[in-house]
Amino acid sequence: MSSDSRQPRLPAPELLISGHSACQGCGASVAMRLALKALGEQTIVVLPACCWSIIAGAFPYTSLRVPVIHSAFEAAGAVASGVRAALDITGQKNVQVLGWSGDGGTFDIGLQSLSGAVERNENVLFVCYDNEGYMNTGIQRSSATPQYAWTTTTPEKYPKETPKKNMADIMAAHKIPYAATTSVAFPDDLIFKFKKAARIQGSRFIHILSPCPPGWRIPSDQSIKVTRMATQCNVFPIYEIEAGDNYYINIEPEGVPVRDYLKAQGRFSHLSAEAIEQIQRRVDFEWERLLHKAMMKRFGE
Amino acid sequence: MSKPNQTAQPGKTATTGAPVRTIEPAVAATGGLAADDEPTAESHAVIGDGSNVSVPAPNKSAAERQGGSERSEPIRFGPSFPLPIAPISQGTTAFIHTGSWRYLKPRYVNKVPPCRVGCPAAMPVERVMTLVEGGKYEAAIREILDENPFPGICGRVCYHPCETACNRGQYDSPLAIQLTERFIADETADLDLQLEGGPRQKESVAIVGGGPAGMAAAYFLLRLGYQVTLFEAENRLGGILRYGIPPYRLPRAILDQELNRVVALGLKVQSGVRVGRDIPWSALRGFNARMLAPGLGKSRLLGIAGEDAQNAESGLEFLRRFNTEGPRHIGKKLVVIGGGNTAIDVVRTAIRAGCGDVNLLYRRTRAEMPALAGEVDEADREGVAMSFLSLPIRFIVDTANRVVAVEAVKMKLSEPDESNRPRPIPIPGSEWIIETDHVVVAVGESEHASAMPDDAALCREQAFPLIQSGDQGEFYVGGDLSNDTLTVVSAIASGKRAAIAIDSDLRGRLADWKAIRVADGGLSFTRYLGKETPGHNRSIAIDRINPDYFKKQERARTPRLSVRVRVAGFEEVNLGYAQSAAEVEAKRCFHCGVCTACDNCYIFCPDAAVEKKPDNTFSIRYEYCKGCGICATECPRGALDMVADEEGINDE
Repeated sequence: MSSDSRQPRLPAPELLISGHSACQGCGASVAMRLALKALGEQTIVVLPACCWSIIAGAFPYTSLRVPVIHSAFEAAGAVASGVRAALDITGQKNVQVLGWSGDGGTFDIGLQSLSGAVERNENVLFVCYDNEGYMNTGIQRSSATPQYAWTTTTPEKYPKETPKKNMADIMAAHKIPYAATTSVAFPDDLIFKFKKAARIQGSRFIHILSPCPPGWRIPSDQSIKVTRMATQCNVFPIYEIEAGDNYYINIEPEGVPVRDYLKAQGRFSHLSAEAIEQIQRRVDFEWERLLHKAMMKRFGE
Repeated sequence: MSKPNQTAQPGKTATTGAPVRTIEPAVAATGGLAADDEPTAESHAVIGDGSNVSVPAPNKSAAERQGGSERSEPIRFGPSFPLPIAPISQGTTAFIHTGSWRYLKPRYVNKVPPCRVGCPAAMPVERVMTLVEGGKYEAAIREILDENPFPGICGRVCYHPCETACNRGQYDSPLAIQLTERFIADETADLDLQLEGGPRQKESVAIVGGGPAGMAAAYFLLRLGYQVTLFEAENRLGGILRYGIPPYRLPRAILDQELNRVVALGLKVQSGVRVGRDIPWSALRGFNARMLAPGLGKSRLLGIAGEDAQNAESGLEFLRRFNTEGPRHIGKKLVVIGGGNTAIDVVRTAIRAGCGDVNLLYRRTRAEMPALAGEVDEADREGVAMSFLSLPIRFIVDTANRVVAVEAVKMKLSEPDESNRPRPIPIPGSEWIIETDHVVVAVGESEHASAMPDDAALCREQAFPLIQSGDQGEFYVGGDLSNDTLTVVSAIASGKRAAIAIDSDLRGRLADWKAIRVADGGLSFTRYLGKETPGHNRSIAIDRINPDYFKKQERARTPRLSVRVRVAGFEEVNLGYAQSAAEVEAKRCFHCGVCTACDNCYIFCPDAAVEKKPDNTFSIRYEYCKGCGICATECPRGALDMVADEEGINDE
């Protein structure tokens, strides 16, 4: 092995404990590991029901070296607000509260309490690690599931006709100080955004695309590669929204056709050429709209 | 790294080893505190001071448990039934050895990059590129000199099979390995490297032939500590490098400098001595080992009328005279026959000597030419007229036995011959005549009549070739005499092979020829010395390179002298790389199959099972590795393999 000393790319603290119960190739555990490396150990995690409720270990064990509060599915926003209040009352302002939910707990079941919390501009970092379905209960569709993707509740015969909800825009519509998308395939970007979010007061939201090999029907080793393709082909652009209005695109896409991304995954293997073409048109449209937003004059300038 | 029974609170340790910790209901419940209770740190006990929580004994009732270890009386409030206990996980998952889920396991396996396999001299290109990237030129030249004594020469005249093998060639364009090698050689030319030799040996070795093979053998033997005497028929060392290759490709200052590096190691040179003519073969009997590297000194002929004319000569002879006597007048028109590097050297030399009308005749097409494509392109640019599919059938001679014209016939290509190139066949009636003042035939070489003892024959039965003679015994052999590929770098490699064979025979040290061969490429001197272990001795193809981590980027351009300037003299045509270009090239290296500590395996491991050690190496904690394979897939360069787990869990 070469012994040239390069700058270490990862912050040192290892706050994820091995032996956790995530599946092979789980993106959510990579996401948590990198996020906590960026935030450090002065962090409290609020976990509503999601894959991470399982990954964090069955009682009485934990796989995180930071405190975790398990909450009801719909309550992450409220519980995180409460934890924040308790910390503030006791003068522990330096402790980060990390509301960490899956797409079910963010897009669907937890949306109401999340919306309430961010509307109050609670000083909490909310994260959605998005694996595009209810994966740990056996791959059911959520409102984060992409159009036409196979799940057990959207079989080929009864496809999901609606496109994926745009969660970052919903959060931005609350005019919160910081909202961003990132992906486990871009660890430098992910760590940068968590460090940046940690320095911002008020509600912050980070949307992480996080692969699920069993749910996406991909081999576990392809997990990062396929996720990277999602960004390369503009299905999942990586950008930031400051103050709810100002868009910045962080990663220049490479113009890979959506087809390559879809063909790499079993959940899209049934798609017809027309369906792929339709998805491509949607992706192109959304990308162009994002470009327009990023090119608009900054609000307040 | 994983402490047992880690508490949920960083920085605090559990009071006992028990896995469960409960909170007093007064604190855990959100209903508020008892009237007589002051708000204390317990109000955030979930995250607060661990000393305020009690540990339940197994057989106590819930009510008893509420009466914590530090309070004399339990706090009671709310309804008459006890409030639920908030459970806190106190143990960690570290005891769960998820490695048992695995059926394939990742393993760090450094491979031999294809460039090194492609190089007959087994130059460690990848290591050199790492050093160049870090600006460590002296370390780089030392790495090269451990395998190849002539980087300045190879950096100019090699046919760079390393670049043909470079995986990057299938991605955008191959790394400019040759120009980078040349850059390092030139950059370090003034350093006194004090190359270390092995322990001084008492045995003496005789080498016949001071070309690249003989000089390379001498170099490696001297570094192994032997007393080496070299017999050279010409007045000066270098062989084809001095008497064949023109100075615009290989400046003599570079040649002398690199040959002198060998001589400075203690080489005894007997120049102007042709063994078998000036001294008898028996004069070599006193040496403990003898090696022959005489090269192919005799030119082949076409076997057509007029070849013995006064102004017809062979390519080697033409170049030899130019390189010893300097430019001479050969007339205005020249016809050169052949398609190899000698033919191209002749036409380009003639252009520089002021010959205005140079015609090259080759019987096949440009695609089949054995000469380096780059050299042919340059000859084209310099104004050589090339007639392909053209075969001379006779030289028309005047009464003074001087060629005045060449009659040639047009050819067409037919089915492949034994050399797997299309066979050219003449088209009847297509003959034409080219007037000329001089003719050079450069259609290949064969061995000189006195190259070896009369009764000697080449024997290839061993791991290395030998020349066996009834009278004179055995000779080790190197260079064109023993090589199928007649190139400088193959000659160097054969010299290395002979040196290793001689050392292993004289020392009684059995060379493991398979282990010192880099994958299925050339022999490594570093490995022979035991300075490098073979490891997993196989190469790596482009499909193991992850293109997501490499931006497409064409190789840096080769700066060359303008045609107008170069044809006016014998200045070196290729100008070499500046430091910036060499660094850019070094950065393009994929480092195929070799870990560069990029951290990807460590970053992407979902199970935190990859450990990074302080020395920038990695190890895998197999008790936790679930075998997902992300590390191997995300390795940019294929330095990790997924292997069947039956091989055992810790057989690193």
